[in-house]
Amino acid sequence: MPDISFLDLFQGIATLVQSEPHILIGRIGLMLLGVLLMYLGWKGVLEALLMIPMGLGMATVNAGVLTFKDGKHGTLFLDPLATTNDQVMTQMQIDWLQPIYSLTFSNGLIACLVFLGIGTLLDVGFVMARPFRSMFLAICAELGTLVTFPLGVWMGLPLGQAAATATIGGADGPMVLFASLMLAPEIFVPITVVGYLYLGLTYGGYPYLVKALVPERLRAIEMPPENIRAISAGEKMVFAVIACVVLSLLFPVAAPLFLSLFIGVVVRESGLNYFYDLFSTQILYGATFFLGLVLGVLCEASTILDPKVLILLVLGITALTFSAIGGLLGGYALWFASGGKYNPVIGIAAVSCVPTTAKVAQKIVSASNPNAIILHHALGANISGVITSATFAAVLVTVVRVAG
Amino acid sequence: MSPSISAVAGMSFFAYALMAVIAMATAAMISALVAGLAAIGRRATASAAAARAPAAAAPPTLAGDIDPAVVAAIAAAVRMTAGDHRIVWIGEAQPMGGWTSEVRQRHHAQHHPHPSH
Repeated sequence: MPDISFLDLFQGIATLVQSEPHILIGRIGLMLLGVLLMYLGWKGVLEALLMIPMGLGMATVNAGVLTFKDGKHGTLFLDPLATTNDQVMTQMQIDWLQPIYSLTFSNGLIACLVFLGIGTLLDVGFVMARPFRSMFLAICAELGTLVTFPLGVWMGLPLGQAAATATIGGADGPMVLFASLMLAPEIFVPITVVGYLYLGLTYGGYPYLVKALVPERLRAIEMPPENIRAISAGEKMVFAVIACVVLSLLFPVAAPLFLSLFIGVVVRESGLNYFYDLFSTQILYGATFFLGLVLGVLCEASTILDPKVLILLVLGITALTFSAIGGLLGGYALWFASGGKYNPVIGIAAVSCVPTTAKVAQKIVSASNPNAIILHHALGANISGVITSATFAAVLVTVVRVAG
Repeated sequence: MSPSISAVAGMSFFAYALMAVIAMATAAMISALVAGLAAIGRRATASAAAARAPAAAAPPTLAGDIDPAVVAAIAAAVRMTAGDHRIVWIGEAQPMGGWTSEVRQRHHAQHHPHPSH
């Protein structure tokens, strides 16, 4: 029998034992966190579509660390630090997720694919039926980004990193990924992971915030019936085309996101059913799966453990909390302006996170008054939130680049 | 040198204000678009209704020597199944390859303007 030691045989345990203490603790902690995320996703506390692949990826990548021939520790998943063409080409032939990372993450393609899928789910008719109210709420719900950007700089982050972290306030995962790739590629992994973690929490956390800030009698307000003309598919397409071209003209830096979003809307409304089925199911869920899996795999202790992660955690929760408060303040403003006829809970739906916050709003209102239907108003604010988040991210990227 | 907090706060407010202006301009554009397209739709409906009235008096063009009773029966059947449309021409189908009509039908069916979803 060959003379093989226990640690030579089980390399994952060997690299754990040989690690620096903070890496050892980090790896064990991230393995446990991965399992916890999976459990919370499975239980429905967090977004299962994202958290289950992300959690298992996080736990596995921290378990599967091995020693290479040159004595370095690494994994067979991917190497985010490979930058030169030679390194990337070499890693592509070794690490199984390297092609997905190098060809879809680094250039923002995966964010655009998710956005394209989201576009096919958006019925812009809800915005077109009541544009001013929806946009007003969406503007109010960007309060988190407004507050978090200077707060991040105050906490010691460079301008680009603070701006990228602030976009978590827009509550749009692909937008956070895109903005961090544009403004802070060096820490885009922790920013995106923190963003998605908190976005997953909105479904469970926002109802408590709404109940704390809106009294029961206001939550139960029934919206008065409206006499609104049905918006045709052609009108929705005209809006999508104009908005896409004009916004791209204003902010070329975010043009890929605008195109992805609005081409999804156009596919939905044009009746191209084969494309609609492809983008709203396979592309959207395929991209979401690989987004979750690769984000989980990127959470390897030696690359993610950074003191900045604590700052990002504080800023992320601050951004989403202030955005929710801003949205509810907007709802209160409309309630006041309408003489008490407008349900202020609709404001929470303006924190985009499509369509989670709209569903949260309807769920809270239904709990107070089963006859109150506010979903169509909430979806209008929700979709406007996507547009304002994309616009705010585009403005921030442009402004920070000019200032930097 | 990194900018001061007040400068960053100013930058943040500027970006927020610019976003708000663009969002409200988008809302105004949507409002104008919906009003404009509704007006065009009303005008088109009115002109179509005006054009349909005299056309209804014109009999369908007949191809060949088809019995008028057959034409009346076909017209009634079409009216019942397809709704209130003017029938322009009734005649025997032109011979053509079945595959072309099948392909054309599939092409048209995958691009209908009023999706059910």
